[in-house]
Amino acid sequence: MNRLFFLSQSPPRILNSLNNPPLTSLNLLHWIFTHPISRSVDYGHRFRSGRGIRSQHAESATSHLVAELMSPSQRPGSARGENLVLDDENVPTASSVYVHIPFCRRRCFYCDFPIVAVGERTDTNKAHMDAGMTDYVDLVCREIRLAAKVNSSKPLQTVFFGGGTPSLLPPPLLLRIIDTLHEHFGIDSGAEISMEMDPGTFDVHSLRQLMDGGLSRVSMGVQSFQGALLESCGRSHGLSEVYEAIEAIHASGLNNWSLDLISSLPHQSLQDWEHSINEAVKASPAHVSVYDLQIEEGTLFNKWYKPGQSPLPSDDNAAEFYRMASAKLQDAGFAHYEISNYAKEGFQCRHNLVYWNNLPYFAFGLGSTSYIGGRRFSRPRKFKQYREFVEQFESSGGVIECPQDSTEDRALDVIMLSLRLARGLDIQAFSQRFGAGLSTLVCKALLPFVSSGHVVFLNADGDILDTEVIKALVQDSRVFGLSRLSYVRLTDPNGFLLSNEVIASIFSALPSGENSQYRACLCNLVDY
Amino acid sequence: MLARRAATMAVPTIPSPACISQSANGSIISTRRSTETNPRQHPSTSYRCAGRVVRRQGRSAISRSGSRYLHDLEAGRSLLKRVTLRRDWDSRLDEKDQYPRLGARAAATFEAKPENAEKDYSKNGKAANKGVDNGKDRLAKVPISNIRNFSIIAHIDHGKSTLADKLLQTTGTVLAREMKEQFLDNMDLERERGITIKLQAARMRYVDETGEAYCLNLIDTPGHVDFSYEVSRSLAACEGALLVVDASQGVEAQTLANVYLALESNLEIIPVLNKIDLPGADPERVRREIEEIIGLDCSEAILCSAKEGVGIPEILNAVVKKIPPPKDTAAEPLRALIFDSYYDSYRGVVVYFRVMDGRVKKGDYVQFMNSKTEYQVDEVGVLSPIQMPVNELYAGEVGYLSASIKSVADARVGDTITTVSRKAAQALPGYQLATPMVFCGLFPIDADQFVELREALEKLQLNDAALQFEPETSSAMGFGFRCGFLGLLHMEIVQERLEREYGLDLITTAPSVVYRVHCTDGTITECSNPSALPDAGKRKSIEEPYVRIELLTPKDYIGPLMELAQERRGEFKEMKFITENRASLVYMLPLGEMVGDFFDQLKSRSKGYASMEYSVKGYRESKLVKLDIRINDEAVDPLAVIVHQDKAYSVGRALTQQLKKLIPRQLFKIPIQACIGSKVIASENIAAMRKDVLAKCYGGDISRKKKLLKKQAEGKKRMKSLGRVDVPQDAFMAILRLEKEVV
Repeated sequence: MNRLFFLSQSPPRILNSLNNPPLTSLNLLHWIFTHPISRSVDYGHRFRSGRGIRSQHAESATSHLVAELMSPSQRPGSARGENLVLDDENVPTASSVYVHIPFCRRRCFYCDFPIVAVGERTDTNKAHMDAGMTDYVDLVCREIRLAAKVNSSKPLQTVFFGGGTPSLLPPPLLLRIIDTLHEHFGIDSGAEISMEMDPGTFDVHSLRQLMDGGLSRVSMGVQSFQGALLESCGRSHGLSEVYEAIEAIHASGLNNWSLDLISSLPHQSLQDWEHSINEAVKASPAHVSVYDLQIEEGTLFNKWYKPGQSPLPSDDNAAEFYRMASAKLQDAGFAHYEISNYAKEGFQCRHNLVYWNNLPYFAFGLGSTSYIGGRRFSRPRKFKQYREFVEQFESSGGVIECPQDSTEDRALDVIMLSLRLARGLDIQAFSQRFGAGLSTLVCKALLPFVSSGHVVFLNADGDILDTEVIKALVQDSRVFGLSRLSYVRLTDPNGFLLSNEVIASIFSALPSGENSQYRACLCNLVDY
Repeated sequence: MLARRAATMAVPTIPSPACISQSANGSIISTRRSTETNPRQHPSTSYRCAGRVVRRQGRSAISRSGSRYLHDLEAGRSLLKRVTLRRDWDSRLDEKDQYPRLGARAAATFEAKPENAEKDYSKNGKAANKGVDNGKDRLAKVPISNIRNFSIIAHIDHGKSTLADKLLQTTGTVLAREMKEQFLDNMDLERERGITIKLQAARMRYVDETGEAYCLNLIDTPGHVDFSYEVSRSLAACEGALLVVDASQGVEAQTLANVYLALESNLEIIPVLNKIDLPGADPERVRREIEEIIGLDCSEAILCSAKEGVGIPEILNAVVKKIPPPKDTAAEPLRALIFDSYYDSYRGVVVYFRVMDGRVKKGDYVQFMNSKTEYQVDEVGVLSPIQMPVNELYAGEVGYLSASIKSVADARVGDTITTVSRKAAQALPGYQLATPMVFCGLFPIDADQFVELREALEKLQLNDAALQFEPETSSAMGFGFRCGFLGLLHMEIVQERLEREYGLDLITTAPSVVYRVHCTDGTITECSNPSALPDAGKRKSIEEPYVRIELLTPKDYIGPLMELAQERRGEFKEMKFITENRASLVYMLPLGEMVGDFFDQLKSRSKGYASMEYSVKGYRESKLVKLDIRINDEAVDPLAVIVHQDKAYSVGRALTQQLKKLIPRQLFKIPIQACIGSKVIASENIAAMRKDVLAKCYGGDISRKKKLLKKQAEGKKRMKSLGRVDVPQDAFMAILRLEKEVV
């Protein structure tokens, strides 16, 4: 009944009146999202009817929104076919690669990544292990070769070896992957080649060997500076290996390295955490990542513990850990540039910035996710299926069947990812890409968080705007109210700590599929 | 011990007379079949109970156990979906009929036979021998002196429905192949819960040892008598009743209440001790109980096991011998007592009645004397238990009629039917209008379903004159209805039917009773919605409905039950030991204290042994206050409650504490307060939310993180707002449940 009402009532109303009440524009927006097929049909003849689309935009924010939200292929009269991917300006060519190296000595109790536990390396299993790893690297190289062939690319700017424990791979094997990348994609001379390393899996020699092959950045998973805590989360290394590893890095002369910590471990006290941060600072890395422990399904921790309940710290304590890390690391000269990342000037992780800026990237290996041509594709997480995937990928000549993200999804990605960054969401860029209407909705959804101190809006000069000013600008029905707003970002640490709440609020305010609030309004209109 | 053995010993010997009498009846085949199927037919009660418990688990519903349902008579009364039964029957009886819904067509095939039968009967004078067709002789007319109208009264689970099944089977009214357990409980809900919601009537033909044919009308009553009006109407339509008592459990609260009702109607009561086959059966003790408590002579009490078919012929003989025939008043102006009615979408309201005086036939213009409406009769017939049309019904007979009646409200239970051309001077006594006693708000969880809810309620109301509803809006729950019910079972059944048959997801607010508010300006208003209570300044006093409640319990639980009644502001009236081990407790109790979890408490504190019955005794002034719940300095209407002054503090404290646990943290600190007027009597604070962050990055795989966020966002859309505070759906439901428990 509602839909009928929508179809019969809504569109003419909007097109006839240029000064729509806000509710109608919301309804329209909702309607557009819920009726993907009818929109091209219904709007088709109206847009074909000869009136200039652009001139309408200037007059009515609503119709502006309509045009903005229709992707080129759905725009009536468009010469492009349905299968045409995207405007070139929307999707830059990918110049980043993620390679997943799934091998670990054992699985840590909190880990739900696609990994293969291979155990300790001994004389008896050495040959077998090497054979397995060589086999895997072969597969990855096959995938790289074909991907490079079927995709246009520029020389790579960033390469990231994640895991698993990439440092478990004998250096020659890792170098082979770098060489393959170099051969088929090309690697820019100033590229960042990053790799995750675990204490106890490398020494100064192997590190040098890798650096000679191009490695320029190391991300070391220390996790904690308490031996007991390392043990309680199933890490395969002890505290002494941590210090040895730090020494090895220093000895190798590598400056650009990150020290990764996990907060909110079971039994972790505030003193433990303070000590870990102090030690991390003392190790003088260029970058520190602080991840908050997540209890993931299927992990041992999930079986043993419940979030927020002893021995895991309470939410209040976990928040305290976060505040402490933020304060102490910033005191030590690290900039808090992303929710869980801190870096000295010039040492931000360029590869991770690619993710957060929603830029495309290739990915190779077990369970890895690539983002090419607006398509996010996750590879199989099991070894056997991954092998089948590579074989099928080859036999099909490089075709990956995967739906393209919708405009809506892309908007959500941008919101979600950019709010992770200290810089925040670029409102102007967002408006340009997704429309002023959507931008306004986002800003409106963020208003309550401004007064609560979790979000700040910045103008073009980088000044924080006053709540009342923002309200006036956002409520302004004309489009250019928005143009005074430049960035919106979460505050540190309060906003960052509630990032899920903030982002989920934006998501729920955007019209997507179901929105009972609007439907309830309609229901009333119909029935009373 | 001896008695028990005697009972079990008796089992094998008894079937033979059964067979003899049945063969006289001409239904040998069906009898055999029925005995064969016996092992499968289990004592309804225990199995049904089990099923019911399983089904009810996980629901926070107010009740779990059987006699709970006794609480509202009317609940069931107007609710049964008999249309289904009728369809089933039509198709079963005429298998060639492709259009079973068109009852008239199926029915037409019957009409011929009964009339033949009638002729046969008049020729032969005595029993007709027609093999399996015998059952159809039940349409044959017999002299008024050979009509017996009776009902079965029993406590819930004492085997009333099983006994009714057996009577139908033994008399060949229902053939074995058509038999299913609890034949008369044909609504899904009835079968599942093991209760009789809607009553039925069945006309049976019985030929005694002397070959004399009788017409027996069994009028089934629902087991509950708490709102005794409709049961009393059913009983008023009879001359006698079988009092069925479980031979192991003995007399229960409902047994007593039923017997008193039957005695009020001057019925001949035949005591029957059922379930003598059970190992725990102690007929002697129960016999003594009946004699001592009720004062009935039990020397001729019949020992029976409905499940095993033991004692059924004895019961039929007793019915014929002991219950008096109706008075022959066929010559007087028509007066027929309506004891049930239901809405059929094809024929309008179908009325079940007993002709007290005169006669009624198809085509007559009839008047319903209390509702003053007039209709022309489209069809009259008997219930056997399917509807079979006949030409005419006269004094003493029981049957149905349809007359394209628009609404059940036009032909209410208790009303008197008379003919327009020859009106009776006076309506039959005892007519009452049903008044809702319990109210609650029903809101669709999904605002979209509001229209559907309204339509569903309208449909239910066609069939249920006691159901009331009016639109209600609430900031927290959107659009819904405030509905009035006869009692808690009625409420529960309506909710369940709305959810099940109409596919609606509902939120219900805590049930409330009707308060009578005396205002300072001298007016009296009735109020069932706490949020609509006049301001404290305008109120002079508040009256609330009181009930007289009688609890029967083994003596071990007297203490806990007295404690329970005291907690609920019960006023002790009397206590007597009805036997050495069992006592009866009588209290006056505010109805408002009973609509919560009283019954559950009763059962749990007595380990399930106590039973209860209650009747509304009018209004009394009480020191009641309105307790407002303020969340973030804003009163939340759906959480407002009317409580007794003395309990306000504890209720307020419990509510605020529970709310603190249920309401998720928000961006800001939230005070939760319980207030009487502007006075805060309890207060809690919810700290501001501290942390909700996913710090991990998943190596570029953001889809999982996005999925989580989307899920969170989806939850936000379904949030319900309590004042300025948003709470997720399930927390909101928990809060509403909480009220039912705490208050």
